[in-house]
Amino acid sequence: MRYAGIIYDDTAAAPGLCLSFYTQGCPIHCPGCHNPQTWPEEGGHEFTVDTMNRIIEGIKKNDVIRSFAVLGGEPLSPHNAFLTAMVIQNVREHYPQIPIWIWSGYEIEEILGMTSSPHIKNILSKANVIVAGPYKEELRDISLPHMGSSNQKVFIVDHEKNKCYNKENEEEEFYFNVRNE
Amino acid sequence: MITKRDGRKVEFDGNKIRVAIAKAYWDPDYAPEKPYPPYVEDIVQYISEENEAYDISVEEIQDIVEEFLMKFDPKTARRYVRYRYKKEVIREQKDDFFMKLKSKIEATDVQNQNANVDEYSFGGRKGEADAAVMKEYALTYCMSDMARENHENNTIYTHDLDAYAVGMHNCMTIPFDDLLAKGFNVRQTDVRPARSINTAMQLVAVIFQLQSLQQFGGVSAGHLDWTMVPYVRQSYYKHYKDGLKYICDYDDEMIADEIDFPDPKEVSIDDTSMYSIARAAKYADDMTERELVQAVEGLYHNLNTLQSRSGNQLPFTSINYGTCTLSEGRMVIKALLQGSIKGVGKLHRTPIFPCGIFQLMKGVNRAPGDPNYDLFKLALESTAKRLYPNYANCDWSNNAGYDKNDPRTYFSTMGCRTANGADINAEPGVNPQMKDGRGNLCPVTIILPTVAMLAKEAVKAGTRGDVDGDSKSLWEIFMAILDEKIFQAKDQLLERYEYMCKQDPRSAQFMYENHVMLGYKPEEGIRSALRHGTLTIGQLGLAETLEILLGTNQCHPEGMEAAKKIEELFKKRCAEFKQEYHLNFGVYYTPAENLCYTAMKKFKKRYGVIKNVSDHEYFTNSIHVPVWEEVGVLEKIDIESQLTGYSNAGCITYVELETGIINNLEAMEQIVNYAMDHDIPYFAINVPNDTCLDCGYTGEFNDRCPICHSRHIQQLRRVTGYLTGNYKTAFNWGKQKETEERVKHTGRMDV
Repeated sequence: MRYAGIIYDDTAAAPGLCLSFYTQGCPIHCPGCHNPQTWPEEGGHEFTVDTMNRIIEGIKKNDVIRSFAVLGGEPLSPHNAFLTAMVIQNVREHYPQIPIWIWSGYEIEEILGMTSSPHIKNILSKANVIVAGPYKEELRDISLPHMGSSNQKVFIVDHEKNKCYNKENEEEEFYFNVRNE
Repeated sequence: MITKRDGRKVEFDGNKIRVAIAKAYWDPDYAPEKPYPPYVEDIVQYISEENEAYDISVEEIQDIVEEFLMKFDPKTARRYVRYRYKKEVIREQKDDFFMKLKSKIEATDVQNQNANVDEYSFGGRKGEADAAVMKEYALTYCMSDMARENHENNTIYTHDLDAYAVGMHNCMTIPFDDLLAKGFNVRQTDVRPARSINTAMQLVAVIFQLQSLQQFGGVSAGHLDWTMVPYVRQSYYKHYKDGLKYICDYDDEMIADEIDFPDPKEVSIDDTSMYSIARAAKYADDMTERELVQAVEGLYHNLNTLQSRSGNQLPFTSINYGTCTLSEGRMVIKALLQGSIKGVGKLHRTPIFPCGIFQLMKGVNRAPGDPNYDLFKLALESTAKRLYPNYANCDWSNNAGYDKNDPRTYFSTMGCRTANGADINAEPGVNPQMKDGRGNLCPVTIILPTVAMLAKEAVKAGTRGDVDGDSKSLWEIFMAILDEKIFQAKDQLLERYEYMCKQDPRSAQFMYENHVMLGYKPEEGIRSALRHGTLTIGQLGLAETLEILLGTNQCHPEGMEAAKKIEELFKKRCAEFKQEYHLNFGVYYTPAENLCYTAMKKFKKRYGVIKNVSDHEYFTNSIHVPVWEEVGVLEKIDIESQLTGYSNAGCITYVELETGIINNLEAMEQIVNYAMDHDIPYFAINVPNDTCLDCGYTGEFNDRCPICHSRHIQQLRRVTGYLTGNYKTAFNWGKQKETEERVKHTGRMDV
């Protein structure tokens, strides 16, 4: 299991100070990607118990509780879903209240189509926000908050109703099933 | 005829030779009764004959005299040669000096010592040449040998030397409350008290301008939100009366009946028992707001256009605000912040001045539910977009004893960082934390890395440390030399203070006549006012000093432990001096805008390039974490907050954030609160501010605008506490390098 890196004091990936965890390996390969070094699965660093501990400690470093974000790489790819789920599960156990953001290159429909995976289910049941959609060079807009190109969308996950909805357009909503059959 | 050095021809005069020889010959200690040297007339005779043949030059005459003397009187010859050499040196110095002036006058050697000065302008060239003369004069005629040597040896730097000889002082928190309420005198006229918010705001610019000419440093308003309350009220009163007349159709008699209160300054605009006619009140609400917004916009434009000091720089202006919870004060704060966000000029560019300072205070604006919390959030937005406001911590432990009911005692700064600590000469009935009418008189800065090298040399030479028999460590010797230097710094400040006190009050008539400076009593002389100001001992390069002494810096526990001992010594000595001399000595974390570069240049010349010490183009300012250290944003605050408490005369802490912070003000709020909770007195956030001068896009970009690809761009960076113009043209070389080597304190990928 490998990961690309950690930003302990991030201000770009979630509201407030944020610890950002970058997964390694991405099958999408958006042209113009900001982090192409995270594409190959064999790159980055080996994920160890120590890495996990650094994340848990890092979130409360200097006694300020940060948000948590998983980016990549592609955190929801079949290759990374297990690691992402495990890390999120662990973070959620230590910090029941903090916002957890997932940054994915998949469209929201694609993500919700993967819910047969127990890991994706687990992630959906813990994360609060999913930023979805591939980066499209021709739609690049550096002034947008929380995204690189204007096609990307921010979805809020409503755990009670098992749905997620577009932050900008609440009518764009998707229901999903996270229970294990 | 004789050919002089400059080519002019003059008549031969034998007496000049006689006197020159006599001066070399005559030595009261060695032979007072010696007879007149018999060979003199031979020399004069010989030269006069030579001169008949051709126009002999002065140099040739001197050579002949020298040769004769060597033959007849070697002892006098030696003295003559020495005398001749000395004259030559003086002549060369004079040439050097004029060459230096020439470079200033022609602006061929622009160094951007002060990023706010346009050294290419007529005024700038004249000003720089003036400064060169004034500096030379101060060094030669005003300062003691000790002060001059410390200055020239790169050990204790005397700031603003060009203002020394006329006895000017540095900076000032202007008592706007009084000046606006009472009006003031200038040379040609007097100015009536302000009676509307528009007039009051314009007078603020005028007063800033006037006072900035009485001193060499910055000018500030300590609590402009509170200051403006009466003028918002007076404008409201006028607009309300207009509303009654033109909207409600009241005649003059009815208006007089309706508003029968004596002083509108005392009546809140929220008081519906006084302002009871709703339609007129609504009109007054809107018109007052409109007038205020206009007035603030005028103020911002004035402060960015009214050049001062012979037309080559803007006054360094700072405005503190944020704590007034009255409706009128809140309106003013909001207008100041919105004016800052809106920007100036056609492209709505970031205002360079005033330096906005938002005063944070627990229970007033820090947390949700506090009456001015909304304004704190607006301030954060402005900071993300415009770098201003900075944040002053009214709960700072060193400002203890302030009066919650008197905003004039709230912690404020004079922009770059200077601050007024408790006044040991406070008059009875005046809170010692009074800021208005006080400022910094003058600073000196101890260049710590030089002191560390002196200690190192002493260890090597064994010249110190065996005082009580056993050899002392490098650290002990350093602390001993530093202590000596702190005492010398004090003596230098006293020397300059006395020099200032000798000045005639007419030198700064606006300041003294209008009691801009606190406590002036004409019968006691200007000393009665100056004694309320601060005398500050600054420092440069703590990080590099720790590297010399310990091979580490204050980012590491061992370095921090040593740093605290150094700062403790500064603090302890300044506290002692304050008691002993009854003057406001204080520890100062110097901005060193130009010194960080020039001190390094001199240091390198003397000691070469030392790893982690002089392998940059600048020294790290005061106690700062070096800009290249990869520390997280909270860590940086943690480290500096352990040292800022030792300073009571001014310090600042910066963090470097990314431009995206505009989309994450929650993070910025956490960071500012973290700094306040860690007792940081004065906090500033650096966000790159690059503006395209064609399309107006603002963000961070390198050499061209990412939107319209224009290369016509302005790159603003903070230089001390202030902003300046484009850093690539306005900063000195060292400061440019420092800016380029700054690492961001957020967003760094780690493992």
